[in-house]
Amino acid sequence: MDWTALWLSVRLASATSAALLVGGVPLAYWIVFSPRRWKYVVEAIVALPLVLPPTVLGFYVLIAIGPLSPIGRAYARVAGHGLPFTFEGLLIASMLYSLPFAVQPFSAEFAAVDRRLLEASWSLGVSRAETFRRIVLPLSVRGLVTGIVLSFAHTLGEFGVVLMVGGNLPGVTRTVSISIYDAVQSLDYALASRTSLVLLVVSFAILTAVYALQRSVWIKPRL
Amino acid sequence: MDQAAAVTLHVRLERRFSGGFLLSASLDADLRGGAMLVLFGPSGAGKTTILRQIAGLERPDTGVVRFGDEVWCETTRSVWQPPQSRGAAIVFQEPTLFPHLTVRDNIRYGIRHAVSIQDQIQDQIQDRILDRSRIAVAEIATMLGVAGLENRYPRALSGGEAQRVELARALATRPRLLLLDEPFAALDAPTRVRLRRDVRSLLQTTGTPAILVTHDRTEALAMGDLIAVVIDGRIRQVGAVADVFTRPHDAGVAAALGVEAVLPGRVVAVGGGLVEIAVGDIVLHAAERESIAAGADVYACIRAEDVTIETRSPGQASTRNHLAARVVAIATEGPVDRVTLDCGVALDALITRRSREEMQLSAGAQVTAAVKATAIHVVPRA
Repeated sequence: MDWTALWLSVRLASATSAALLVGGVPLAYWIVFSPRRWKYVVEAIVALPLVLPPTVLGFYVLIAIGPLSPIGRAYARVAGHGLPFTFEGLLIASMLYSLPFAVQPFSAEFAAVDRRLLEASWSLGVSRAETFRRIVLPLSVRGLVTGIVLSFAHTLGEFGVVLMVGGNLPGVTRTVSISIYDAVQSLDYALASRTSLVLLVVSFAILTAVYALQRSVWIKPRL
Repeated sequence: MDQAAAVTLHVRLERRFSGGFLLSASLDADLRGGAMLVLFGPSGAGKTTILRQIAGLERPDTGVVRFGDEVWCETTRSVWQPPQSRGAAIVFQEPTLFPHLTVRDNIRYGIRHAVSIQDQIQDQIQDRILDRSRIAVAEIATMLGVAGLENRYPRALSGGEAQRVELARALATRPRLLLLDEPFAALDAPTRVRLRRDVRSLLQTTGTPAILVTHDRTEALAMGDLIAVVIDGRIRQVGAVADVFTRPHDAGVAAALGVEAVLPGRVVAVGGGLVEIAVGDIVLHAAERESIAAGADVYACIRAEDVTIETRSPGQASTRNHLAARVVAIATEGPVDRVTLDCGVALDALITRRSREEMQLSAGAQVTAAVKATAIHVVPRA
């Protein structure tokens, strides 16, 4: 059992979910409430990781954060080392990879809030931002939890993107799925099956929780 | 609020919808002293759209909305005040209480925004605002008869209770203008009547001007001081309720309002199943259908079909009301004639042409107008 790899994956998935909560909520808000006509372009970009091969996504991220790009150079100047083959680089790649798994549940739940509740709030003198905080967010708890859990599970299982951007450095970028791949490559089927079983059980538990949530087992649906 | 100061609402709106429907509303009304303006008209006439533009929830293609000395919207100068800064709280037909908040938290939802910015920056603000809102919530809950429900969630309220809480939430912010979009339509009749009365007295006590959208003429009569008749996206007539009902500008307005004389009066006596109503210099007797107290302000509504004309003094008859009248004019309306009478108040009678010929009626003739007590529909002012 490769505990180092499992622990790294859990850390990466947690950081990715947290970052997507912080970044995904404003993005979902913009997608739902912006009057811009071209927002469908942004929606398409958000959904892109659903259909793009992980190697393609990983390749572009590698180029974008590498020493040849302005972003990569700027980061290297500040941090003293480059982004590829580091945990930070992996985090950026994972955020993009799991973006639709967070933003789509968020925006679906925001859009389902009765618009008249918002109008009533505005007419009571409460700003749009505060209406969002006091009405939309509390009524969207299910969507927020779903998005966080799904992006966690999705990040836990990523392989192609990690391989492209992170490589295979034990304790730094060797995540649990890469550890399984390595085990199989070295014909250590016992190790591979143990680790695989852990991933299978964890993934199943997470998805069961998500679907229970959708069926309102714990959180009561709004009226 | 200064009772004497004029609170004028000035509306010029134009908006074309994709289906081709053109909204073109023009309206001036003085709402001082908590007056209520009724936007009245058939469904789909554009009443709600006008209300939403006044609230700032929709924008006109071109137009102006001014309230008092504030410009809320003026498209030619690109002036646009968002709903938050208009102070015009809106109450919808279906309750829109926030489902995750208790009745108390719903009522005080907008309160701290009614506190001035100056107060908010001072220290101990949080305590003072909470304290103030606690008092305000208790006060307003009592006024609207929802005291004791403060800890409930909206899903545990009846329709009438929910609408009362909704009104409390709106009034708690001390709005400069209250906008009511058919707020009583979804309620059962007894609840509706009680709530109308409570809302009207509350608005008058607090001096809050209001605009009410309705297609219910009883509601328009019971609640309104001013009425604007909306037909096909246009405001066809604006004025005091009794004036507009009695003197519609044209046939379209008359049809929308229903062809009835609406006579403002006061109940002088009640007894023996009859209500005695003083209308101007005359007294009408109406059947008592619901309990009305002496001294109540009412409208006596009389359909022209129910007015008969007699040329000589009748013997004993069941008709309660006999009014000395002078024929002002006679107009032909298809198979019948409309006789306009002056009997101290204006009243129309619809009679057949044969009756008119037999009685040899002509303008200027002195007659008696007779109306059965059961034909007078009494609408108490809420």
